[in-house]
Amino acid sequence: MEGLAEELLAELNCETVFTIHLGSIDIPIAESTVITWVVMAAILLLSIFLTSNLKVHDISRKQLFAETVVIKLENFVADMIGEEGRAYVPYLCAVILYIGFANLIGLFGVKPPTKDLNVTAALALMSIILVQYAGIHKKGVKGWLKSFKEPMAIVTPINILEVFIKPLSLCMRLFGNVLGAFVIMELIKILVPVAIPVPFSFYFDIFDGLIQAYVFVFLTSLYIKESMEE
Amino acid sequence: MLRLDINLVFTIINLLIIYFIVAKFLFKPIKNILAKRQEEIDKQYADAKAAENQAMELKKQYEDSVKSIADEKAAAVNEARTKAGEEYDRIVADAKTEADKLMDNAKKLAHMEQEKSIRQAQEQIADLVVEATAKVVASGQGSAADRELYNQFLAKTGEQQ
Repeated sequence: MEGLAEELLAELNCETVFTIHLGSIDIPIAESTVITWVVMAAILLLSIFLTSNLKVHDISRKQLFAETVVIKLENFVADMIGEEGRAYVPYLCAVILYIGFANLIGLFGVKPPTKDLNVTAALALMSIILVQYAGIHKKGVKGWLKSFKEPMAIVTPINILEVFIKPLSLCMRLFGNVLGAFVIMELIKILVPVAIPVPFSFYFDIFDGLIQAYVFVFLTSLYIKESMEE
Repeated sequence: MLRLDINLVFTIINLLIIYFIVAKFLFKPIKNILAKRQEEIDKQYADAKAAENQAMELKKQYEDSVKSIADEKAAAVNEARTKAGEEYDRIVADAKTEADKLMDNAKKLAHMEQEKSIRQAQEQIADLVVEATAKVVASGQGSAADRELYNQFLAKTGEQQ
């Protein structure tokens, strides 16, 4: 039993793959960062492969697939954020692709990067910066500051708190879900390594992973939309 | 498990790079090709519209020319008819004049002939009277001779008639 706990803890630990020594400063590069590079490379190669040899007429099945994916993804995000937030659609598409890839990479037996708090915190930080930027961009600094007194002055502290609560909840939701799924999957894999993990993997790696990507982008676009409302 | 360090910054940089990759290598080419296709479709629509307009114009021209031909035809027919009518009237009038002239001539001729024959008859009658008188005067033989002369005169006159 003790062996099992140790094994599990080892799996849960976010290892430092290597450390860069810059003079006296050590820069640890975490596993999640390296896996993110792999995801980036995969997205880059897939994008280049899908968009190579594009034609106006007589399109190949590959191009049809690429066009369908891009249009569907864009409409999917644009429907959530509304017509006003059109400019933020590409970023949200990038995020949904990244989280989707990152969560699905667990299928290959790699630790998903979203299991690392650094990654989800970075995502949430970017989201809240984008949300506040959208508000300032739409209403101006004055309007943005005024929006903290909406709907009445007494809720101002809560509104200020929300600036921190929103990204925290985004960060922890994604982290908790992926970590939880990962823990359960590791437990199952340790207990019964054959056959049984397959259906669970379908749920925890594919379904839950994609749902979390959707939820993250959905909530971010909801916040952006909210911040742009007069 | 719960660590927050410099890797957060790395992740943010990675995210920005992913955003760049997706925007530049996936969305941009697809958008470009879609825009190109849309442009081509718009162009085709415009071309079709232009062709339709041209066809309509040609049709109008054709209809106009057909109409003008019909007008010209009607005008020509009218003109011909007027001319023919004039010609007809003229011919009839000429004929009438000619006929009147002929009639007049004929009448005059007939009149002259008549007068001439009357005059001849008168002359012959006068001659006969002269002759008869001479005969009567020459014979002078009673009533029998008178009757004889009268009968001769009648017979002569009857022969002459």
